[in-house]
Amino acid sequence: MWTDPLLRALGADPEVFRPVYRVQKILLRRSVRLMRLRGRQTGSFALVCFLAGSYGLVGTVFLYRARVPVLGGGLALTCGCAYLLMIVLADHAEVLVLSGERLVLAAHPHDDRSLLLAKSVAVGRSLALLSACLFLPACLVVAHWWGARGVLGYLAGAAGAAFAAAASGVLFAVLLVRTGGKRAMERVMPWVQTAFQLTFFLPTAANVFFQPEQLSGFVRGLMAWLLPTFWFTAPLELAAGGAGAAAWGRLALAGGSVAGLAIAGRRLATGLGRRLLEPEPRTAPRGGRGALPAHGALGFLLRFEGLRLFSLLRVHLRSDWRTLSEVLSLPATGLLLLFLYARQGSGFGLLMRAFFFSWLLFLGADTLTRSQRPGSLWWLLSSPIDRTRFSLATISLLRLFLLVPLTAAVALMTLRQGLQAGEPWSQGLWGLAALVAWGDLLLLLGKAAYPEFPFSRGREGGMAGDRFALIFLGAAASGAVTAVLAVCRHFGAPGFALGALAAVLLHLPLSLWARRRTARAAERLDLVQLC
Amino acid sequence: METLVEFSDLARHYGGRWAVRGLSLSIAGGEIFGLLGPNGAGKSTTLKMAATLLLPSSGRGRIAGYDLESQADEVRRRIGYVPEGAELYEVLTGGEFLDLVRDLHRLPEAEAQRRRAPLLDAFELYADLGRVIGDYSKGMKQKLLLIAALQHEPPVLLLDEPLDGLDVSAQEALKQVLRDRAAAGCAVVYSSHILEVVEKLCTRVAILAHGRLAALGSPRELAERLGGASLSEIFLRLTGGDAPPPAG
Repeated sequence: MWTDPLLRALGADPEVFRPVYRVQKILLRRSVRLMRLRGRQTGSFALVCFLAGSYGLVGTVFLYRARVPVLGGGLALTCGCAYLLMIVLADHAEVLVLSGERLVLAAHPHDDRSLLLAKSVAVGRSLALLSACLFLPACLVVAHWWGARGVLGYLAGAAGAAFAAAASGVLFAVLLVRTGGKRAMERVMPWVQTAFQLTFFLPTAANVFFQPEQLSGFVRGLMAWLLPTFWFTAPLELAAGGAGAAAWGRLALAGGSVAGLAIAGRRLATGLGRRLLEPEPRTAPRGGRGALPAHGALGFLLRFEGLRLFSLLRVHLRSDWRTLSEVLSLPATGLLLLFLYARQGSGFGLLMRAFFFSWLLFLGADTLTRSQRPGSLWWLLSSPIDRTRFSLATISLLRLFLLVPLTAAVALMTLRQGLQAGEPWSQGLWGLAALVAWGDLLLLLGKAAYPEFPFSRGREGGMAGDRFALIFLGAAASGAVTAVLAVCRHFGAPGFALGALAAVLLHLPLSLWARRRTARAAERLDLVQLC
Repeated sequence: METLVEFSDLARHYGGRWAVRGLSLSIAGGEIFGLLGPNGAGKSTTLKMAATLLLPSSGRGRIAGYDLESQADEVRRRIGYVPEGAELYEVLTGGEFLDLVRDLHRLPEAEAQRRRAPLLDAFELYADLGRVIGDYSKGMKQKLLLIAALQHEPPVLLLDEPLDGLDVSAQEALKQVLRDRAAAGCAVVYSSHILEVVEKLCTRVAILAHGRLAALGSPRELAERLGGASLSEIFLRLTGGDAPPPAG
């Protein structure tokens, strides 16, 4: 093949490179966990590209609104690079340093250089495709305002920024593996996944916080020097004309960072190919985790079955990073959304807050029934536990980990806005009480809608319609609660007090219903269902 | 027959514990050699060293005349290795995985198809080659690993608990394949806990205890020399009781 001389010149064996490259491409295409469809073992790279395209469009809008190369280009590049970095950390880095690959490949003929090169080229190709989706849409705006030279400048900057973002992600992953082994990577994954999920709100957040046209010169200056992605707008600035010494300074910073990353990459890559397939060191067993508090506030709040469930949660989530990332992302997403809509003042902002508050509580009940490894619950089936109480304890757990932090956040926002607007204290307090009471009702409703045993439903199993039903049901229930609270708000503090009272009255029948459905689901639970 | 596997004072330790110590063995082509021992005796470590997955802490090993350390890639061309616990690329299809192994061993496509066909028949895996491995059962993954190890017809087979997860018909098929390969001059190193199978299948066995070679010979020789009525009795007598020695 025509590439063989080039591969040989790079020190690789084409006979090893080609099959490994072919497989790495497949792995990258099918391993996209972020976009894995329910009921399928493989993910969809096309969906990842589609999402990249939508990020690219958001960047284009920023560029259009800002009309200035540094600010607009910087925002567009930041948006794209954030996405690229998360993709690298969440999927590509894992393919690059795939745990267990040693046992698959090491006993077959291979050489370290071909292996590393095949992986790097496959990852590079995939990132190039994503970068095209992320950065090409903005070219239209750039061409409109700054012509063909501007497009060339923007593309040069985008290429540099994409390289820097991807290289940072890969180097971070390699460093992680070098210092903490492949397991360190698995431990970091849930946090990366959570961070990635939060970047979905980046466009909304940017829309709320960034009014590019209203930013002061001082803030623009700070962003241009402190955010590395802004350095890569220098080629666009220079191509657009009228750029001063600052543009040359940023160009030097951009070039320096690319060179630095390339040198660091070269150093870290030395021996990486060998290290990828070398055996994992046998480490001494780690000390056991601290015992759970049997008494005290936590024990009181969770009561007995809740404490057991908490114990199961800790053990289970250590080996189920996808569920852990969902559990982590619920309060994080909730807090972010509440914060976003807190800035929109009264009226619409308040209603959106109520809506998302309720919706996340409803979703929480479903999240805790899902698992990557439902089969690992087999031991519970033969354990002498009260399955119904155990399952119902998820409500206490959700109260503690979701209702309490979200309520605290809403309370702070209510306090701040109340102080600013001079609203009566009684209205704020009753409003909060009504929100919490209805939120708790939604927890019960969520449990009644999804009464399955904790971690008993497969994450990949089930029908695609499942997710839509969850979203639809959650949205309908949350919409109803929001409507009730909107009516209450119309009547002020007495309205909220009545609303809270109504929720308290509804609590008993709803909890009985949830209990009955949970008991039925717990009775039906068997090994076939788990496996 | 030519000696295909040769260990000379081979040893490996993990931190402060010896997994294998002072192991010397030679296995000729045509032999089905059983590697026996209780959990932690060093069977898998020995096979991993032979498969170049682990470097020996001391001693030397040769496969088909090639040194395990300095000629690792030559060794890899001459072995078929089935590790304990099927580790595979879960998102590849069975066919894609076999093609990967075929290409790494530089086997022409038509030749690979010809060799693969009877194995796929014997292990009843033809219909599932298009499915992703993540959907396979444990037994199907084990069959796939076996076909991947056998399709390039290596002179040395290193099999760690190869019957794990296989149904009865696949077990019988594998035993027959191994006998055929041995008859064709291949050296088969077969590690297992299942003494009855080893007793019937293997021409010679080595019993490991605490990483050391405790006994070596054909099942009949061992019975005569050590006075046990069966391999199980001999095994229990040789491996029971003692704590493993510290490294150093």
